[in-house]
Amino acid sequence: MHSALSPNKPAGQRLRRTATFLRDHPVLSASLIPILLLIIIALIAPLLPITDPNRANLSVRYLPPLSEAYILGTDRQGNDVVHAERNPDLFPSSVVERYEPPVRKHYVLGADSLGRDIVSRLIWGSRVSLLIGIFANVAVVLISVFFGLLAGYLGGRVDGVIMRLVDIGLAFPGLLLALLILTVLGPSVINMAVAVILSSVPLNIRFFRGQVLTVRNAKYVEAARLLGYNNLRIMFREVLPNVMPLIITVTALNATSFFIFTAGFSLIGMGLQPPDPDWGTIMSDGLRALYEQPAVILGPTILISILAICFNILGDEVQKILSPRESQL
Amino acid sequence: MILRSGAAAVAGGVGAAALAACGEAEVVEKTVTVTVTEVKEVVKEVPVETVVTKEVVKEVPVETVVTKEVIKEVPVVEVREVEVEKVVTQEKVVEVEVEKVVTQEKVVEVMVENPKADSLVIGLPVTARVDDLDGSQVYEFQTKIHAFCTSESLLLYDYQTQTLKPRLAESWEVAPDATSVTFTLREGVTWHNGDPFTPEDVVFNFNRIFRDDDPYHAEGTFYYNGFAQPFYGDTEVLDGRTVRVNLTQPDALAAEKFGALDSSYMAHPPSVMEHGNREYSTDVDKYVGTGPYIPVELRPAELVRMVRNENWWGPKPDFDELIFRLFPGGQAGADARVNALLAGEVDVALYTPATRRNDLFRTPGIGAKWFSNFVLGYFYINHTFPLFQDNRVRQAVARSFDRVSFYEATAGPTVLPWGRFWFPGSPYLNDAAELDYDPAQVASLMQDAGFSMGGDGVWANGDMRAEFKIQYSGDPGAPPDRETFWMQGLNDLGFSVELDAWDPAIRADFDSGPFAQQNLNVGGWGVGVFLGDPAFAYQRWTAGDFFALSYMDNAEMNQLYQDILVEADADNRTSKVHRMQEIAADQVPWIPSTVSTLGAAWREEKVTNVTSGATQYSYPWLYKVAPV
Amino acid sequence: MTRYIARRLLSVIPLLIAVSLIVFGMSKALPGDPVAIFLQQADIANPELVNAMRDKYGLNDPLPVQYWTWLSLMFQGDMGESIRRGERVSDLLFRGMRNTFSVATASVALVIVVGWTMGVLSAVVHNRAWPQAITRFLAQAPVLMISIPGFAVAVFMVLIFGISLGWLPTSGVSNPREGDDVIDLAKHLILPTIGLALASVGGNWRLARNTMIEVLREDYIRMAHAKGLPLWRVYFVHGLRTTLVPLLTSAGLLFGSLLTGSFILEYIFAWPGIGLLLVESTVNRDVPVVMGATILIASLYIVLNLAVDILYAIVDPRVRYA
Repeated sequence: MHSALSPNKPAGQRLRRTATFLRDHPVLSASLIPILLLIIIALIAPLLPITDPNRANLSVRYLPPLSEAYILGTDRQGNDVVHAERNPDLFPSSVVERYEPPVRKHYVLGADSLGRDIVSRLIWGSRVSLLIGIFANVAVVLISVFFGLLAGYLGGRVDGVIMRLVDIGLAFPGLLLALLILTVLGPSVINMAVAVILSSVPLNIRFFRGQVLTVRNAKYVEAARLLGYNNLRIMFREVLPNVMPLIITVTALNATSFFIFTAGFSLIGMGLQPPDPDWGTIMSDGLRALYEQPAVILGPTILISILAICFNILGDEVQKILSPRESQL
Repeated sequence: MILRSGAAAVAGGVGAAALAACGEAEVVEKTVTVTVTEVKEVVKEVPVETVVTKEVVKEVPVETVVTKEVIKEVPVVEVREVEVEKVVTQEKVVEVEVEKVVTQEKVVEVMVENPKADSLVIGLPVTARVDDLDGSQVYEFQTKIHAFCTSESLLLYDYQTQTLKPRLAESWEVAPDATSVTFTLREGVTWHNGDPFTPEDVVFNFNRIFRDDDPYHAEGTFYYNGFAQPFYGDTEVLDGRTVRVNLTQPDALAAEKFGALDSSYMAHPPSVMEHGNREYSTDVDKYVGTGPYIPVELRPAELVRMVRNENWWGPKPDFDELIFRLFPGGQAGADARVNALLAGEVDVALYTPATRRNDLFRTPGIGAKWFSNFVLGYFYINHTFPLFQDNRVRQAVARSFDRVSFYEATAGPTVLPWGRFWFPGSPYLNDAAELDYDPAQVASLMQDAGFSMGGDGVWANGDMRAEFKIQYSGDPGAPPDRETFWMQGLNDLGFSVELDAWDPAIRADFDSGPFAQQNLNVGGWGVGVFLGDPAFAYQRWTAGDFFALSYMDNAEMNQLYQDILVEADADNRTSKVHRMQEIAADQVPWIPSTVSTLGAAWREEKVTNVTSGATQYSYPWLYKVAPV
Repeated sequence: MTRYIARRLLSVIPLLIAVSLIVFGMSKALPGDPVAIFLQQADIANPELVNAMRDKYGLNDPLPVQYWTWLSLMFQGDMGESIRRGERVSDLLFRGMRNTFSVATASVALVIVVGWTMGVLSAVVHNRAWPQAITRFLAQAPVLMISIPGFAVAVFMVLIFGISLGWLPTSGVSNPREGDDVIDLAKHLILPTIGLALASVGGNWRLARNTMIEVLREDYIRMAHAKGLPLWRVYFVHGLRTTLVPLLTSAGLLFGSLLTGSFILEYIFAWPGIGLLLVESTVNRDVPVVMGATILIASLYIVLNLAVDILYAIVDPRVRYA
């Protein structure tokens, strides 16, 4: 039951195999596309021709989607100063370089309560949301797998100590733990990530430990032990690859809850701090403007939903491919 | 708690820190040239360095007079521009009024169809003590509204006209030397249980409220009586209708403080003695008051239900039944209140957020308005930060906030933008004490202060860059739009400003909070000014507490305050307060932000209008609800 | 069996001690002085007042003394007084818990009624010759439910069903005009429950479906078919019995986590539950309430987890010897 994407193959061959693999599993490939697309957009956000997500222009406040305004010029920081009308005399103090005549600017998704471009806020916001949804997630899995392996494989006193700590962590519901951590550390992106990691690690450790226990006494592990391999090697070369499929599935499922989780915290003002955007703060902004401009809250909601759906499908597909019995479902 | 040791430490520290931190030769030179004579006098007593720093603080008024002339001469053209804008604003206001008239015509039609407003549901936020029926035990003024339907004070302060109105007392008189105040009680007032309201009840209550050692001391009120308590001596009954409060020191505002202060509400002595303050105030069966409504049901954090008091001394109360539905405080509760009003679950929503203005105005059958409040919002400044020790920089920062644009766009013309000091809508309003948005003057002030625009577009004076943070705090989930906008305005004008994390908790933390010197510099958001009382503002000016990073010692200010305390003549008092405001506008102890607003919205089938500001016999407090 | 239960019960004691230490430690680690915050929000504060209030709430004592006082008072049922609200913490917690309990119960009921039913149903039709569209919908609908943030759905539900159509109340637990009866409460419960339970309904739907499909492949089911038992009997008596074990576990854990009070949903619906109380008091550093609420939630959570474990052990003997 070794991984399908097995290493130690020449690069070209591996690429070809990956391509074949993706072609053979169209659902999986389809669910990967939006995820990769968003990651790429988030990474190249500074290169994209979009305005500063924090530049407020009050005259285009709550501009509806698919409308346009005029760029009067740029301010001291080089950001566009926009006005709903063509009149260039309206922002005399902030415009340092004037455009003659003013340039037309399109607002695809409209503008928010301070007249900031929602598209640009969504794109910049995706950096934070993906950071937590993916990188915090990877951290969670790495930590959990490591301790899960130690506890499950070594057993004995190591297991005892780790599991007692896990029990303490599990005594608090995840949301509560995250809330307390955030309150103690203060609201910021890094602290948000720390809270997410700390509050979901105990459950994941327990889960992976359980999985390790099931393969611990398998024949091939016994065999490796008889061959005299040391514990480290057995853990990482024999046990780990066999719980790999589950790791991928769990990562994908975690991602869903992390997106919703972080958005929720930002919504009540405990997440990333303004003016920098993330999807949660945009939702929080949109919540206040729900009746005036529902488009503000729709953007992040749809993005979160799409990502969550993709991660869900991805997780399911990987599970199907890697565990034959499930795949008949 | 660095500052627990008191004001003196900070006060001394400001001057010393000024030299230690910046050590600018330039600053020292200036002071010496201004005050040669005085330096000579003091040199004998103390080491020279210290004296110089001390003089920096003391001689600020001398310097300011000079800068002030400059300020007034330079922007003549600018002032005109501002005036033009004002006219436009006023035209808008007229339009709004016209709309209102139309609305009232509609209401007349409704009135015929639905002549009886039998029961009224009012949506109200609760933030602190949720279930107090006794006005003297309520912690926060927001939650007082229902308590003020059941209990009453001797007098009522009308915030709109800044005058006193009779309530349980018919008349009042402050002694000419301002050392006592006499109240004549209204005849025929009874408690809800039929007991007559007597002067002895007043004695009991005043002792209970203003004496810490009274066995029935009303705990909830302690910070409101903070203004009156130091002045309170004792109360004596003169005859069957009059009581006299003797003061420990003269106070020309004694009638306001003891008759109408938010805490001096009358509780029924036998009930308090029998049940204790807490039970008395939270159990409808044990509560006995004098107010126009009698509480019949109280579900904590849910509702307070009251019925009309048929024996009330005033005109017949409007509603058979008055229900206060309680919502959470903050943004969550505010949105929920508006939703409940739009869905018809409540008839009146109080403290409606300006963010939902358009929803309310657009919905037919809903009336809404926002009133300017007596509460003024301001940003604190960390005066220990070297950058802000020059009052020209403080002025420049204060003038870089385009309040007019911001509030017109976000909250609409119903909200007064406010760059003036202290008492909105009051006889103390002084147009000269302004700090309005003025980019040109920001630049000239910064240049005066020795700053020049660096290559990176930020003002700098040697090593000192015009760089600081705005610390913001507010309701969870309510983004700091005002701070964000102000930050952008500052950055546009050559400051390098960032926002600092929202967390109201650390604001009060002197070791690591926003006012910790190493930390940041323009802090949070505060409210001020009760009763239009100069004492309040003066406390803010001088006290060595959490607010007092605006601490400055100013001889003229101190003298004015002492004079006002005993100044019985209203006109003289006004002119003295005006002068205090001018000093404040010049020194910028804190940065005025806006007048905070009270919003109200109502269903027109039940209510024709809601007005703010207590008028005679008005209830609920701060709002008057006019039934259909 | 008894030994297993006794062992599990005993293991709770050190856990509770650890939890109480963590809660106490966290309350001390919270930045900001609760008294100063309170006084400052009331817009008046001076050092003497702060000190007096700190004395009153025992905040000037040494830490071990504070911990011991707190713990021993708590065992007497006294969690102190809220700094901000002036009420007894136990009263506040009881009120919050009552409101959260009603919405948590309603959510678990919804999960059972909709999630389990749809899950079992979609497993039953899994291998039948039903139109592809239906089977695929039954398989994919839960993914959608898990993926859309429940609070966003809730917000739009308030807009549509509350304000535009006026069918359901928009917020709160009761309508003062309707009186305090069950029907009124039920009406107020509908929207928060849907918002809260949406993801869990999806999760349980999927779990029920997958478990049932596996169970239906077991030999004893084939045996039951072979014996010629009626289909409903095979599915709902033989099949469902085994399926219910993981489902019950999941529902028990769900109930435990819902009792935390979903503060996001409570925030949107102004629902005066324990979650909103916790967030409010955390923001205001109302430390006695934060400590009381945290310890209450953690204890409840531990007890519920324990109950689920023990029930599981009763149903599935293998667990006891693991």
